[in-house]
Amino acid sequence: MRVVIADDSLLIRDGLASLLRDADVDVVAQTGSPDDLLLKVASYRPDVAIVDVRMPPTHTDEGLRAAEEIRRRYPDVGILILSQHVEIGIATRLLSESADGIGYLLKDRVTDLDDFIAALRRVAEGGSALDPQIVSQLLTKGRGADDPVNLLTPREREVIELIAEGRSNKGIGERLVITERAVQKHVTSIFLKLGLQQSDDDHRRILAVLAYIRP
Amino acid sequence: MSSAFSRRSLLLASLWLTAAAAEWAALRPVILQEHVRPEVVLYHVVGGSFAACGLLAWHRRPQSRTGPLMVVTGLLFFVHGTLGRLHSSFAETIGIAVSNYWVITFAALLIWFPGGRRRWAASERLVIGAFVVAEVVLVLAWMPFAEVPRNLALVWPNPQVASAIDKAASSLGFAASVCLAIVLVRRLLTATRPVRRASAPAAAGALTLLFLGALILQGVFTSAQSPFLVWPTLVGLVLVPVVFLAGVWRTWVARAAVGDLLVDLGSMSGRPLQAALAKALGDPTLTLAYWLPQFGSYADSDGQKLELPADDGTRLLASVEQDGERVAAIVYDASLAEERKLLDAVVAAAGIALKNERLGAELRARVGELSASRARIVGAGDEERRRLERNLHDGAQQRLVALGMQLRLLGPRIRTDPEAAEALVAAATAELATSVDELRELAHGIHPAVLDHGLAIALESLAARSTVATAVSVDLLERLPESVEVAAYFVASEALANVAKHAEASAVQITVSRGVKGALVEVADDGVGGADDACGSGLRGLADRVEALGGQLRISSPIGTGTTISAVIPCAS
Repeated sequence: MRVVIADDSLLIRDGLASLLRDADVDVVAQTGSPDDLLLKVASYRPDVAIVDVRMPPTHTDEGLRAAEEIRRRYPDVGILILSQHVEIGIATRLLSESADGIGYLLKDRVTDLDDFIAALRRVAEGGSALDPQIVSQLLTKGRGADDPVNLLTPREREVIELIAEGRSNKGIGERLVITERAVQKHVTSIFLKLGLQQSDDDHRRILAVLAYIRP
Repeated sequence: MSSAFSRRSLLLASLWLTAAAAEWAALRPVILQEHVRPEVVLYHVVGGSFAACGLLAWHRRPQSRTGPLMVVTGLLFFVHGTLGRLHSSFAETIGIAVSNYWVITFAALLIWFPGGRRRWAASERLVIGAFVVAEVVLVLAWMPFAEVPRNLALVWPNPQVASAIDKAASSLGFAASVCLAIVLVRRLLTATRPVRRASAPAAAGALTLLFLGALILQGVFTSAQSPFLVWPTLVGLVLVPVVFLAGVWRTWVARAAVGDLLVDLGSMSGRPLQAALAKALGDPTLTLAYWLPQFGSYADSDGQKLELPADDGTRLLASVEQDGERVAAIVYDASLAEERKLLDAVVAAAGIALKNERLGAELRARVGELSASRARIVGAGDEERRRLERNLHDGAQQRLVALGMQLRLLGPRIRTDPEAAEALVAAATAELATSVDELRELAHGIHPAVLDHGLAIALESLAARSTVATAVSVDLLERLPESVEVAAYFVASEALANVAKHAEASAVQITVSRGVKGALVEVADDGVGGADDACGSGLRGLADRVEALGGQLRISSPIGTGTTISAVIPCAS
């Protein structure tokens, strides 16, 4: 798996690169500026571009705009947005077109390296990775009393959060230490309760869930 | 004042007595007759009516000439009859000579009313002159020829000459009456509304005078007296004084309007105020002119420059003053000049309203300043929070994430590559130390923890960090309230930052003491000076912080002699 890292903090960039190389990920390029990122993506065509939201010159959303530009020019390049803090607004903006090959994670998820690599791999393969914090914010945010989400059992809530994060049934099963069959049972029940179309396809499934829980 | 007052009372009292006596003497023989003729009674009541109404008007409006003129007219009316009753040829002769003088004062009253003018127009002087010729000169010319009883002036008895002069005199008198009527009508046509309304009594008087002139003319030329002239003349002569008195009285009623005005004024200003004043004075042409001391000119309520009218006797000006300073002027119709008290009341009312307006304007200015300062404080707070967030984001947070990564890298190497692991631990420890330092600095910016140990220690440590030699002198018996300590600390801190940036100073003295008005914080340097709060947002922010506590920040920074920033902060305990 080939990745490009864009972050204006040399510390983070180097740290992340070292970690990823340790995990046998091929870091083909690093950069600290959005323009340079576009150049690097153009020349290396990585599987994933890891992009910090805040980049020079104004340190507001330059990284995000660069990511959108990459998505427009090179739709096959996965994008993993990293940020110090996650915001629903940015998640909505990112996922407004499609969730394919899009990830949005807090920077500190990096320290749970296995999980981070898994997420990176999902994005590289055209799947999604959404930070659990975003998912739980989406799930708890302003839900009315008659919202079917309230009908979900605690276990089903755990499952739907993991679906929204972009995990497959296998991943969910590993995470919750249950069998894939048990996961599938929960998924069926959830989709039934929320009135969603069943699908075996992982990221059509996550899109359905996201579309449902998105504000 | 009191002696003048009592002298006037005495004068009025004696005039009342004189008029009453004269009226009684005139009326007694008429009403004691067997056949009382109403027209004769009416004729003899004319003098009393003038005198009584005149005296009442005089009482009400001592400054006005209306009252005295009416009294004089009334008394002159009595003169011939009273002198005739003395059975003395000398007195009778004088009585004949002055018998019609009342017509002159009556005419003068009609022209004068409602008063307030300072000069007489040429036409008016001509009319009075005509009356004087008719009733004084021609009478004196007539007497030497007139064969009337007890006329000591009879020199050359000659009925033809006497009759001719008589005809000339009455013709002239009638002509003068017509001219007077024309003068009054012309004045009515060109007058402002208050003048027109006030002139109604004069119009009634002029009409009466016309009838009187016609009556005399008829008597002289035909020896007959038409009842169509007699009755209107007599009724007119009796009622005109009453109408005049009513005219004087009306302004008393108007004065009550000032009371309403005061109630209405409240926070009135600009056009409504002018309209209210105009209504109270019954003068729609009234103009309220605001004095603008900075321009040395007057302006109307819209702020347009206003040329005050020239003093031509038709428009007058009353100055509205506050604390001895001119603030405005009221331009009003000259007919109101005799309404001295009414004018004073209205001017005073305007003064109150203008004071309200000025206080209101001051208040608005203060509220404006306050909201601006509040907005700056909120803005400064937001800016501060943004700065903190940026600092945390770029500093501690990044470092901690990086630290996490380093520890992550370290984990698998502890066993396999101890040397690399040691290097990583060393790097991570250094990273951690830097993070701690950064966080400490940041926390210090939020609230100087060193203040926990007192202002003196906080200022000492501030001085120790300063790049310019800084001496601290704190003279306090007890600790200041926390908010005051924080403000004092930031005053010193910001001032020192400015010294470091701009002052090129070699020494700074920080002084804190407790004064009557509160804590006094002073930071003085010996640098280049030339600082001012308009150019430095830091100083402006300091001023806001100090003013928010009710204090004041002063910056004295003459070029070349250093800068002194001093803050007085009240210590409400």
